[in-house]
Parts: sequence; structure tokens; C-alpha cells
Amino acid sequence: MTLIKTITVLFAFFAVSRVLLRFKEKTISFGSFLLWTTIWGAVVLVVFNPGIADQTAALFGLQRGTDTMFFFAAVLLFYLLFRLYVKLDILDKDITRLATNTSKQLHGFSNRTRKE
Amino acid sequence: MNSSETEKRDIWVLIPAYNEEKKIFQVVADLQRYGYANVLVVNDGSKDQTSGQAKSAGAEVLEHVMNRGQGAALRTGIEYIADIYGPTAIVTFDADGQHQPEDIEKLVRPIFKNEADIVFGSRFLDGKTRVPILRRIVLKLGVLFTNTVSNVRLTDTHNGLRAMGRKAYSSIEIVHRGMEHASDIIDNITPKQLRYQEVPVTIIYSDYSRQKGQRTSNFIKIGIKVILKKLLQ
Repeated sequence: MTLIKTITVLFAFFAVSRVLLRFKEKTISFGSFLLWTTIWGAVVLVVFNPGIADQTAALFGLQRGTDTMFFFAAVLLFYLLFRLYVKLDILDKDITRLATNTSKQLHGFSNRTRKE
Repeated sequence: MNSSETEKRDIWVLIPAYNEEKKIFQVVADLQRYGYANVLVVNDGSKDQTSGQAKSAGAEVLEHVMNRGQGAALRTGIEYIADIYGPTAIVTFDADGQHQPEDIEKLVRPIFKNEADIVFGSRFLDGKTRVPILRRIVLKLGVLFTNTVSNVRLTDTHNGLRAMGRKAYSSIEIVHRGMEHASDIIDNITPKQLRYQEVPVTIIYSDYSRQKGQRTSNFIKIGIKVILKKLLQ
């Protein structure tokens, strides 16, 4: 087995073990678990059967398998970046809402305490 | 008690404040000296004695447990005042001493006369405010852009001194937690069918307010953010 195959397999195993761990902890959904396992499975498959990439390239009208790999990797990365941005935005709004509500509750509590 | 005093009791002055311990006491005390007893300071996670200084000057103080930005502080204050007191007018006022309490009278007058739902202060209407040239250019570009996309006619779109009547403060949605809130407020005018006016106000640029306030480069950043958001909407 070439060095690149060894590194890819080891890293894919490591990545899938992390995904499995997060899924067992219920910090990621079944959908996310399936998505990441499929991605890493596909990476290992392509490393061992480079012909698949060439066949996929032909299917999409591209000449080289590596072009297809880079194309799909870029699309996936942009999509994940977008999802991350949306989630961060939601988180940011939630924190602000929390700050607003906490300030009003703390103020009401301290006023009640003073009156008592 | 004359009508002016009765009206002043029906006004809440809202001051968002972040690390303003040097000025906030004087700002609140000046407002009270002018008869504005109802002052709410939203301490936006300050690391200094802003809260204590505001309280000792006689203001009611709400605390953000962490710094969330001026837009968030204004939203907290507006929600609180609307829920608890529901006054005829809420006036937003800066904590760094660059706004003048005597201008509040002009701002709230159209609201009490039921001629406007929201009144904006403008530093460009009477020529009394000496605006540094670079800031003037950036502000005017902001005015041009905001007027175009929000379908309004204002001369000063990023002035923190403004008064909102009941219809305005109960319907306006502040989306951005940072300085972009000024555009949010203006964006609400047309869809919420708010009647608006502009009155001349004086802004005093001191060394302190220049140091504490927005740098011109920040105005440019805010402008780019607002433009990007508009394009994405």
C-alpha cells in the first residue's frame, strides 16, 4: 500500500471514529452522521479505485478524475461554510436574545428584592 | 405642574452605554437638570463603573451580562420601557456627552402633537455642528445610500439622537446588534407606514467623544456590511 493510501485510510478511520463518537453522544444528528461517513467512505473508495474518479469525470463531461474531485470538494466546502455561517448567525442572535431577557429578569429580581 | 413638566414625565430617555464611567454621571445629571427624570441606561457589559455612576446620578440601569453592541442595548431598553412604562415617547441618547438635552424638546414636540411617529435629529440642518470633513463625506454617502434603498428623505441617517412615539417603538424591529441598527430603524419607516420628521440638533465633538465614538473607518465597515446585507436580502 502506498504512503498516500495509508495516510488516507488512517485519517478516514480517525475522522469516522470522531463522527461515531459525536453521534453516540447525540451531539450530531443521524443525517450528519450519514453524510460524514459517506464522504469519508467515498474518499477511501476513490483512493483505492482511482478509476471511479475518471468514470465520474466522464459522466460530468470533465476530462480528468482529479478535476472532478476538486470540483466536488470545492462545492462541498462552500456549502459547509454557508451552513456554518447560518448556524453562527442563529447562535449570535440567540446569545443577544439571552442577554436581553437576562437583563430584564435580573432587573425585575433586584427590584423585587429591594422592595421586600 | 405645567404641560411641559407633564410631558417630560411621559418621556423616557434611553442611553446605551459601554465603558462610559467618565461621562455617564454628567450625561444623566444634565438630563435630570433639564427635567428628564426618566432615564434608562442599558449597561452593555461594561468592564468599568458605568453602572454605578449611572445609578448614583439617578438613572434606572439594566445590565447586559456581556457586550452585545449598541443595537442590542437599544432593543433591550426599548422592550423594557415599552413593557413596563409605555410612555408617549422614547428618546435615544448617546452616553458620551455629544448630544444636548435641550434638543429633546424639539424632537418630542411633533410626537406629542401627533404629527409624527418618529423624529430624527439632524446635525446638517442648521449648520451649527462642525462635522470633520472626512466624516461629513462618509456620512453623506451613507445618507445617499440609505435614502435610496429605504425610500426616505433624510439629511442625517446615522444620528443616535431620535425620538419614537408608541406606534414606532412598538413596531420597529432592530435586527442588527451593532451600529447597523441605525439603518434597521430607518428601514422600518416605509413598511410600518410611520410618519417621520427631522429636526436640527447640535452634536458636540469633543476629544472624548471622538476617542470613544465610531472611527470613520468603522463607518465605512458598517456601510459595507449594510450594503452586503441589502444585496443578500
